[in-house]
Amino acid sequence: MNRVARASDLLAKPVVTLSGDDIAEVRDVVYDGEHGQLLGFTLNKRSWFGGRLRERLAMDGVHAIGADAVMVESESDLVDADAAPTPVAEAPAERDVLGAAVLTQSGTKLGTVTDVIVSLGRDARAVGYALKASDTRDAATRYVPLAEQVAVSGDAVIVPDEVDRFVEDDLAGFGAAVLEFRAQLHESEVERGTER
Amino acid sequence: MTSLRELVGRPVVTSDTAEEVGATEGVVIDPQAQRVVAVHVTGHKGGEFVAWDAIDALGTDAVMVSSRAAVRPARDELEQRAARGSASVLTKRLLDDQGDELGVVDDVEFDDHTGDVAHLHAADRQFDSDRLLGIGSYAVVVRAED
Repeated sequence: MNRVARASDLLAKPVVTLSGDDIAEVRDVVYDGEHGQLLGFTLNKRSWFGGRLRERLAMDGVHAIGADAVMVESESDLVDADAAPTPVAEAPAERDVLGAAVLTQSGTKLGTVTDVIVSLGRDARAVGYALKASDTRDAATRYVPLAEQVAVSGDAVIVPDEVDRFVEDDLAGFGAAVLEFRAQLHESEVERGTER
Repeated sequence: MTSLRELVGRPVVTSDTAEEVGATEGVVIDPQAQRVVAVHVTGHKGGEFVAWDAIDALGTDAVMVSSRAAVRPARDELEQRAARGSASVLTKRLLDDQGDELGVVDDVEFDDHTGDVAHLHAADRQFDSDRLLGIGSYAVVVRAED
């Protein structure tokens, strides 16, 4: 079973060491829209006064992302902004991809991005987008898996036509859709001889 | 086996002079060794901790300690964390290493002779002590089930 969550649900979640101490909380989810990759987190202090922490948490420092906490092995997994890999340090925040239109190669608009969907657990990663189907206030939300993006700009993301077949209406079913989509990708790669 | 929940509140009495020196506040557990290493005592001016080897018996009505001098201030990091309230286990949130909350710890069962922790209890479930990874200010962390 592939558990998934909205990136926006991770905001303010505690960052907890395996020794059980909450050393920070999530301020922002850092997502690279161009490559479709979750890069890490910027952090706030765990205190009533809040305030930013200089340190960042890059994905290679994350032990697991769960429904209730982001787990790290120890405090040393938080890296000072100066030492952090550049994208995490400069934080092109998740919000940069929000509002972009998602279009298939054949020109069908699937919706506009309202959130990034991440898979939970030890191998957490970005796996899709939540989209608003239209511009009306009560527009329905749909979920699409992240694909090899054909092209990306600040305004739009172009995805292969196949993605249209894996659009889901609820987050609970989306985890399974991602697995199916991945299995499908793997099969077609094998067929094309791309995989060795 | 001793239940931590039942142990809390039990009077602490010296074996040599038969004096009550305080009451059991809790225990200090070493998460790596998965063992109780000290008893935390309240109401005693001379200090708060009795090392496991200074405990003569965990009786049903009293914890017998060798002497008044056995109850002394925090000596190592585990005990210091306990003194600050970080390490008390009962009512602490239980979290697994995947980042999912499992409930709240409502009891710990341990061997009254060796101090070895057998299980943690939370949310009507039992968690084997070999899953224990850490006890901290925010949570008790256990390894997730496979």
